[in-house]
This record gives sequence, C-alpha cells and structure tokens, in this order.
Amino acid sequence: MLRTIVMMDLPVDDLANMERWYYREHSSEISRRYGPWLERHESFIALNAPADAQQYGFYNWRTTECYWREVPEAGPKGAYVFTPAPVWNPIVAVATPAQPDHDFFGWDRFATDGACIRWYQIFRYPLGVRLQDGEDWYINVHAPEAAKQPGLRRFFSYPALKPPVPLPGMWHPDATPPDDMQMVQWDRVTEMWYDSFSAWRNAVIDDPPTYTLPEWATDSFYPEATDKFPFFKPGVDFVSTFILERPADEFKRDTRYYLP
Amino acid sequence: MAEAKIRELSAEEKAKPYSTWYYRPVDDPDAALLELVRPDRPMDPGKALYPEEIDRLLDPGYMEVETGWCNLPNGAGYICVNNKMPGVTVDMLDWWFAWHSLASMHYGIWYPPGHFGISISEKDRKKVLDPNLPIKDKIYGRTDHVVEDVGTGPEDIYIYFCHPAELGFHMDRFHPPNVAAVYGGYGWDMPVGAKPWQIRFPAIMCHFIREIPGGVEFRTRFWMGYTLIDRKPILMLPYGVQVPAAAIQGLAEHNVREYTNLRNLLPGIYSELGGRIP
Repeated sequence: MLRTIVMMDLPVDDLANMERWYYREHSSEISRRYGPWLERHESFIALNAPADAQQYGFYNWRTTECYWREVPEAGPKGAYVFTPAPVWNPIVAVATPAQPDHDFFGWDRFATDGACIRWYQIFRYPLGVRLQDGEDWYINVHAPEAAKQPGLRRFFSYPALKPPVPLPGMWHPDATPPDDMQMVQWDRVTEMWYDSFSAWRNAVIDDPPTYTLPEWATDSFYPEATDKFPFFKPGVDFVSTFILERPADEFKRDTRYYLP
Repeated sequence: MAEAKIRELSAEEKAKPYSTWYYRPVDDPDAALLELVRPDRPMDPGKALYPEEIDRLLDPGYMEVETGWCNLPNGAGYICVNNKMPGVTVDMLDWWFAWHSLASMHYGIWYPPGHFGISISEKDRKKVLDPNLPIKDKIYGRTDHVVEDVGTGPEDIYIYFCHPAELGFHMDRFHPPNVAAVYGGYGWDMPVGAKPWQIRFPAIMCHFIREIPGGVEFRTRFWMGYTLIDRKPILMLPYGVQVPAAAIQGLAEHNVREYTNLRNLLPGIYSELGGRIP
C-alpha cells in the first residue's frame, strides 16, 4: 500500500470557486473512478497559521492524502478527462509508503492525552547533496536533536517513493495544470506535532535545542542552502502546512454526485 | 551544433602560465564519430546497453554499437561513444579528473566553448589537495557543480562521482585487461537559473577506460532519465515523459567534441604541469 499526497496553495480570492470545484468535481471524479483501488481519500484544510509559522514555505489550502491498495494504470483507461479547475494553483505532490520508516518521538503516549496541531513538512536535500548523505544527517544527527524540542508531541517521517508513482486519470491536453505550478521532486515527508501554535513557536523559535549544522549550511558550494532550522530553504527545498488530526473531508465516503 | 562564445578569463586566471592552454584553438571533432551521432541517425534502441547491465562493459571485445544515441522504449536517453585516445595514459586521466575540478579555468581548458565553470565543496577541495590521498580517492565520492553547454544551452549540472562498485561493476572482474579505469557517477541537470519548480533531469554517466596499443579507449555511456539509489539504477521519468531527442543527440555530439579536444591536449598539459596537483 502507498500514499499519495497533494499539498495545495491558493490566493484567497479563488477560495470559493476552488472549493466548489474541488468538492463537487475533482474529488468526486477521483473517488468515483478509482474507489475500487482507494482505501482512503481524505483532505485536510490548512490551519490559519500565524505569520511566523508561515515563514516555512507555508501552503495555505488543502492537503489531500490518498491511500492506494494498488495504483490503477495511468492513462485514460475508460474514464473521461478530469474537469478542469476554474484557476490553476500551486501544488506539491509526492508519494510515500503508507507507514513512516522512522518514528522518532512520542509514540508511547495515548491518543486521549490531548489534541495536537500537525506541522506537515515535505522537503528535499539541497542541490549538491547526495541522497544518502542527506539521509544520514537527517536521520542520525538531526532527528535525535529535533526530538529534544521542548513541548514536541509527535515526530515521524516517511521517505518519498522513487521512481515517481504514476497516478491514474488524464487532464485534457488543452487544460493541463501548468508546469510552473507543480513541484514534484522530493525526498521526505515529516510530521511534527505540538499542543498549539504557541507551543510550536516555543519549540521552534523561542527555545529550540542546539542543532548540528549540516555541511551544506555553511559552504557556499551549495547554492540553495540556509543555516537556519530546518536547514532547508523554504519554498525551494521545503514546504509545509499545519493541519488538525482528522480530515475535514472523507471523499470516498461522501461522494454522491452523478458521475460515470 | 552552435557553440557559445568562450568565457573571458579574469586577470588572475590569465596570469597562470598554463592559461595559454585555454586559448589553444579547439580541435575539430573526430569526423567519423560525429557522423555516427548525427541528429538524423539515432541507433537501434535494441542494441543499447541498459544501466542494469553495466557490468557487461567488462566483457572483452565490443558491443554491436559503440557510438550512437537513441531514446529507449521506456523514454530514457541512451548515448554511447568510443573515443580512441592515442598517447593518453590512465595516469594522465587520473590526474585530469582530479586536477580539473580545482578551478573553472582548468575545466574550461578541456573544452572552452562549452565548459564555463566548475566548483566543488570545501571538503572535496581538501581531498583533492591532500598529497597523501590516493589519486582515485580524489575522484570517487566527489561532487562537481559544472556550468556546461551540452548542446541545448548552458546548464547547471551536479555530478556525483562514484566508486565503480557503486555503479554496478563486479569488482572481481574489475582489472586489466577488462578495464583500466572508470570515471562515472550520476547527477542532475537543469537550465542555468532554473526555478524551484523546474524538473531536475537525472542521468547516470560512465566513462569506461581500456588500454589499447599506443593509448587508451574511452568508452562512454550516458543514461538520461536514470538516477542511482543504493547502487541501483532507477528510472525517474514521470509517466509518459520521454527525454527529448535533441537533448540526447546534443549530449552525444558534445561528448565527441569535448573528448576529441581533451585527447589532443592532455599529453601536452600533463607533461608541462608534471602531473602535479594543484
């Protein structure tokens, strides 16, 4: 089983039209057509993050997760093309295993202990960094230090699947999402959970643990690097959003539209 | 193929006594090889070597096609070129693949119309300059960032050089006469100044060197669209995407041009600089 993720950003003026399209057309077409392969098709609405939390490549609209028992073949395969969106918006897309490969912190608590906000991060190692070197730093050096953030409640991570997973369905050749709205090459998806935005701010900005800098943070050879936590350049190699614990929409369960 | 104007050297670069090599006229490309990589003549993809079969380069003899280019049925791009290099030795090539990484002028000397810049990390520079480090260890594991025109305009290219075992060679067969050296790795390329959303194109590169009477032969393979993860080649192209034919042919032709020039200049510059680093 694998999980596909689409994280979306949207100018506020497009919100009403895009919500209508997403709920009525797009999610319904996916659930109706690919329901036999889909185990879950859920979407989380981004929280209204404070300004300092938006400095980390913040995506402000929806994060949709699909869990696939298996992935249907790409291509039209008997379906119509997708109904185009009223506007095209920036998205990031990635696929991961259904379960994290590293559960760094917080698994030994009870779900009844209290609700959390989830900092949902998608990142790639900077240009010039080999995947295995980036992974070695992140998993063996950085994660143990990040797990010491005061007030951190949960921390786990998934590898991005490679090669890229071909998704089913087709856009119309004349109504295809433009390339400059899509970022699709990623290395990892990580979640860090906190009690509140105040707890997040304290853990990340006001009272962070001491971090070991990765090699790329201090060598100008790496063109898109930063020496600031999380040591990935926001909007370039790191995007994120904040969501709640349960989805706002469970499309597979709720789709009732008349569709072939 | 239209080539860009060469980069003007800085005063500091010009002051180096070996800067004359940068202004040496670029040699005409090997005509026979150029003919084999013509834009209108892609090779039969059925005769291509796949990256999973890289170990077959250790077999004696030659493949049915040693110089050519094509799209593979899975969308990837394939390039092979066999450059004969009379008068060139493995010592010279080892030195070259270490020395050229130290400065953009060094890299430019190789092929001034298409090689604009090179940089390596501080950690890698220390390795290249370490007199106690074996020459191959100055190459394996190094990451080069080059600015290069391989036929479709200037590109930022990151090359992760690898040990031959990481590329997939069986080391029990990795010895003369099967092979004298391999310079290879994997990398990403993108147009100079690419935006974060722009696709970074992966490739695996292998320069497989054998000694032949009077010199060496440089058997090059590129697999465009593939990367290497945990020693395994992975096709990274999204569904339905093909590497453009112009990019494949352009790289094949560039390879002929840059290695024709290198084979002609290498014995002379190696002798002049005494094989020393820096």
